[in-house]
Order: sequence, then structure tokens, then C-alpha cells
Amino acid sequence: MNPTDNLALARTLHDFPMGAPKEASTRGACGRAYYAAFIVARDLLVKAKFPFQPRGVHQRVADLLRQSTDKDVKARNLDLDQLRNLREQSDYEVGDKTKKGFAAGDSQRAILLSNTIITSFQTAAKKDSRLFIPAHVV
Amino acid sequence: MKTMIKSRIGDMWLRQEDLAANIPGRPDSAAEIAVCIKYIRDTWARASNAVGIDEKARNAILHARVVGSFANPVLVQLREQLQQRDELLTQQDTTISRLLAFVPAKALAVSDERLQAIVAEVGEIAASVFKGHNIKWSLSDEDDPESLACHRFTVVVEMTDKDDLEELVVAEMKLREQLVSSMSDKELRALRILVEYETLARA
Repeated sequence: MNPTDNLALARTLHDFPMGAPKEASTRGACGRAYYAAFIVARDLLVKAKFPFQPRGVHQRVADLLRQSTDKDVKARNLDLDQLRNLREQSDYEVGDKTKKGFAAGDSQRAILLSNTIITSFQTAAKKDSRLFIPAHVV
Repeated sequence: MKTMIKSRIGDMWLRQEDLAANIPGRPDSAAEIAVCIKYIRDTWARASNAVGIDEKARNAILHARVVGSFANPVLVQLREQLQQRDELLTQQDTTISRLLAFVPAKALAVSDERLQAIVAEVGEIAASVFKGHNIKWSLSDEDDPESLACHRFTVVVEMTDKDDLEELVVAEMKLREQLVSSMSDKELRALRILVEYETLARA
């Protein structure tokens, strides 16, 4: 499956598919938007031959991108962290742990962030397959 | 701010409070944890501060063993003492490794002085990119075990139904673009900066 299909699914959920619970759709869209961006980033790094352990993949992706010398990649890495936070809230702060309700604005924000992150990482990878992460970083 | 102690694993730092936390499933007693914290603070700190000490100590132990093998009773006794110390160290190492498996690693905390400077800077940039919006902020410890950061800075932007969300998202991305120019990699690792919109989400 192409990871960007997750972004397409996020858009579908954001538009409230017929019969689907609204807040669950909004929350689901935030999760799909995050995973679309995260998996695109991970796959680009794997393709650039950065080694990954089975555990701690989210931290490893963030750690590598933080060391990029390209300011856009670095900034979008912070966007990815923001998106991860949104996804954690949407998935875990539910039921007895609900702190705030989720509305369409949240999923719209997640989709905008995800789309920008994906475009930015893919553009950087076309210029430098290592996303401008220095050679000494392995 | 929570107390940070350095571990010997890479450049990682741990929070003393996390190490001593009552984690379900961890069988260690409070006294055992206290001994381990003391061990990490004293022994590891000494080892990392004085380069070569470990090597010298190892050589001395090896030398004592060689001499001891030819042995008068005092040397034999010394060798036994060294062996006991080795065993104790191995035992403490095992306990510490077991404890560490439960404790999330964190990046080194940013100094209070620098943190205040960053907070002022972020506040200024936020006021500029979210011009016309009321902004609040808060600084706290980062408790997400999946994040290396040890501080969390949250910028809360007040918005109304009339605001264009797309413009606000562009503004928050601009905020991060400016932050990566003014903060070092280590600071970006230690400080998690998040943006929230106050009236965006409604139950």
C-alpha cells in the first residue's frame, strides 16, 4: 500500500462518510494523517540505507531528521512531532481520559500538516537521497 | 524541574524521579533503587569525569591477580577482596540494567537561563506570526515516555470561528521554521514546542 493512501483516507474521514460517527471520524483522520507522513519519512530514510531497529522507530526517524542540515527538513520534523502529539491526543485521550473534544478543525489541521510534511520530505529526497543528513550520521 | 542524572549509555540522561518511580511489574525495593541511584551518581560520574581511571583500576586488578598467583597470604586475601568487589559491581550492574529497562531515556535538560531566553524568543516569534491573536504559553516537564525531550513548551493561540485555519497552520509552520534557525540541535532535542488552538476543538 502506498503510505500516502493514508492521507487520502484521512481526507475521506474528515468529510464525514455517511453513517460514520463524527468525532471518531475526525480523530481517525488525525491518526491516518500522522501515519501517512511518518511512513513516508521512514521509507525515505530506509531507502537512504539508515539502519533501523524493530523498536523505537518513531524516535529514530525524529532523531535522524533533526540532524539534517536542510532547515526545511528540520522544521517539517517539528511539524511531524506536532502531528504525533495530535494523533496521540486523538487516539488515547478518549473515554475516561478525554480532555477535549475533537472537531473538524483538528482533522483539517492534521491533513494540512501531513500534506506539507510529505511534500517537503519528498522534495528534499529528490535533491539529496539522505535528506541532507550529514555523512557521519549513521 | 526534575533531577537529571547521566547514564553511561551514549549521551542519554535519565530523570531520577523516573528511576525511583513505582512502576508496576518492577520488583525492586525502594532501598535497592536508592543504592542504584547512588551508584549511578557516584561511580559512573567518577568514571566519566576522570578519563583513564577505569583502565588503571583494571590494570591494577590484573597485576594484583598475577602477583597473587605466586602468593603470600596477604596477596591471596587482597585477591579475594578484589574478586568480591568485582562480583558486587557485576551484581549492581545487573540490577541497574534491569532498572534502566523501565526508565525512558531523555535528552539533557536545557539550563534554566537558556530556557528562559528560548521562552522569551518563542513568545516573540509567536506574537509575530500569530499577529492579532491572543497568545498564552506554558512551560512544563515533558512526560511523554516516547519523546526524548524533557521540557514541553506549549503555545496556546486563541481563535474564533471567523479565523482561517489554513492561515493559522501556515503561521505555526513559520514559527517552527524560525525556531530551527535560532535553536541548536541539542536544544531542539530537549525542548518540545507544541501549538494548540483554544477554541478550535469543541465537544
